[in-house]
Amino acid sequence: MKKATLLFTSMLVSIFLLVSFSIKKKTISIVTPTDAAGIINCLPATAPPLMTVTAFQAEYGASTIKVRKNIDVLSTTEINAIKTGITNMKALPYTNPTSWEYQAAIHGTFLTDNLASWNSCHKAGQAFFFLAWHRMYLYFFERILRAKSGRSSLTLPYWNYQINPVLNAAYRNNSSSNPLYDATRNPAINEGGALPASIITAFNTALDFIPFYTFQSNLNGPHGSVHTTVNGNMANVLTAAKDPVFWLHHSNIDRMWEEWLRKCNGRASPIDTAWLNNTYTFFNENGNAVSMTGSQVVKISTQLNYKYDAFSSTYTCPSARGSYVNKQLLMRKASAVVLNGQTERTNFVQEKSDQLESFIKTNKKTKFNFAGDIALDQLVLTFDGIKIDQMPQGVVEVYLNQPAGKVPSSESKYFVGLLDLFSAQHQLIHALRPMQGKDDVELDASKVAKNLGLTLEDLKNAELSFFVRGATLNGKEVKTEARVTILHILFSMAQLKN
Amino acid sequence: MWTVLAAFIITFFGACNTGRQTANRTDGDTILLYKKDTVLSTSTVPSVLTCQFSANSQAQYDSRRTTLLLLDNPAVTTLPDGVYEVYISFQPPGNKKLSSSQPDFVNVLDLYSLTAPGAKKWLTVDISEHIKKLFLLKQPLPSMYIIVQFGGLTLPDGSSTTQAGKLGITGFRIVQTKN
Repeated sequence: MKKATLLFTSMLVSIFLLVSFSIKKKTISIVTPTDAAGIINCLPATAPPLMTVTAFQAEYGASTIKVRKNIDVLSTTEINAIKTGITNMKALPYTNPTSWEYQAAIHGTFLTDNLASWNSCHKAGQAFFFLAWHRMYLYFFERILRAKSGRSSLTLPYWNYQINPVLNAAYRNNSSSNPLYDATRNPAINEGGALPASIITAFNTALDFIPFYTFQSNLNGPHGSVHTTVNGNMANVLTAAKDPVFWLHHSNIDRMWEEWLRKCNGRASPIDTAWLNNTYTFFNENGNAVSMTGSQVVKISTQLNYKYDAFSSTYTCPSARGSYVNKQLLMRKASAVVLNGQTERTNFVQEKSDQLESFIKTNKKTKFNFAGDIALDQLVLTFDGIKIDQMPQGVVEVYLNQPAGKVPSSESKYFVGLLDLFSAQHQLIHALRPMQGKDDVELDASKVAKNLGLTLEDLKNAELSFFVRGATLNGKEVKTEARVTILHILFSMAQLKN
Repeated sequence: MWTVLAAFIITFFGACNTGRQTANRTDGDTILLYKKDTVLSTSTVPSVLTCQFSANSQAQYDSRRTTLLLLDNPAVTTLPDGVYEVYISFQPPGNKKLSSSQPDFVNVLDLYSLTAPGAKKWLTVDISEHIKKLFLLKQPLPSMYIIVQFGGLTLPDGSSTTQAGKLGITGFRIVQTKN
């Protein structure tokens, strides 16, 4: 009886709590969900006839490449030009497409006039277009701001919070004549407070994700957190673009897309037709509607005539769209390798080297080509036919040519990677699932081979070490063992194809 | 009143452990690995969601798919002076403040997108890499802890903002996308 009363009371309180959530004025109302993976959505507006790539280039591509810079390096003259541009845009009636209010309303607005292109971002079903939509939006806003500023070299600056998490002082000066100031912001931001470090970590983590859509969806957390941490107008989709910080923030997001591409290793902008042909309409500096597609905003320097002054590192990338193909077998360990316990070593000394010699002869090649940030050759280590009798309570680390007696460390130059036994087991269980494709486990040994200065011939004497490492609990590693049989181990080489 | 009620609910339902769990099912674009209906409200103290995959869910898990954490029916009554950080760990947080430089850090919550017209009924966090690591570390997977922690701004005098805001959810799910 007591239990029932308690349960009934808790239900009543739960209902009251949920009702309180829904009627609370500041509560965010939420409607029907669309897709799980995406967050930020953009919906196409009614589009004028689409310009051809050639026509677009003729109209907008004639000028020299302009450089978007870090706000912290802008001169007073450059910042004053931005202020002039904003002031002039704010002086226009909100029905003018080149006015500050109209431009902000393209992103979102509480106004109900529903003018052309208003509220065209953050609508359901277009999450995949988040970066492209904002690139277009910034591009045309920049053209308008430039025209209104009277400074032909004006570009949108960016806030590189990865370097300086404190908002630039020009945007925090609360003088009534400063159009860069927004009093609705979190006072801590306007007083020089630094964004939490976790935002920066999350951005940096997102940059490591491949492919494009994974990278883009991982930007949601830190991107949205900059908005809500700045707070005020910035914290709401329907008012965000009214705060000049919005443009600093999104220039940096746009720069990160470029940075992401420069990190290579197969990173590429989308090539699916839905993305390439997705069309949105914005307004140029003359107030004329212009439609653009995703395919027109892939390459900023050649298609949109701008670039960024700096990235966190210098990258050299033979091909952002390259992939490794034509994998050829070099060496094969004919006998099975059994890992029984915590460690195991095996080598290729006794193995036949016909394949390797044939490859060297045919290709007239004795060295790998690992030069540059992304190597032209890829040394692949394949573990084929894995049988697991005892799954370790931890991971299996794989090392190449690790000296005997040396303590294994994943930080060392000999560490190749982890043997993904879970996937191997999964493949065994679901061996007939065609979706899963391969029934082996691969590791890229290129980096280790490069660091060790290995030649193709050296593979004849290659030695592999396996080390089973337990999970760390309360700062101590828990010892664990494995019983795993690997039927074949193969060295192959693939080559980068653009 | 609000805080007291929220605290009461959390206390009564044992934070996250006693919510109703739903069996695995497949719907639309995702495969449900885990679901728990539980009321949670953030505060200055890290909030912890405990999750224990069933054997069936572990069998369904595919390391090549995207794994998402969905926090259901998020309601922001006050925005924090900072961010909500998400961590996933085999360990409960204890008394130590977690840091985003730790490997357990996943991402920060995107509260901004909730203000969009037509926003979803949930907050999404991509946890693919973290879940993959946990699965590699331990088989079968023991209980894991999803920790939501407030992180403040650092003021010029070196102090941090302390206004943690208020975010409520009614449950959470872990799903995998089909493609």
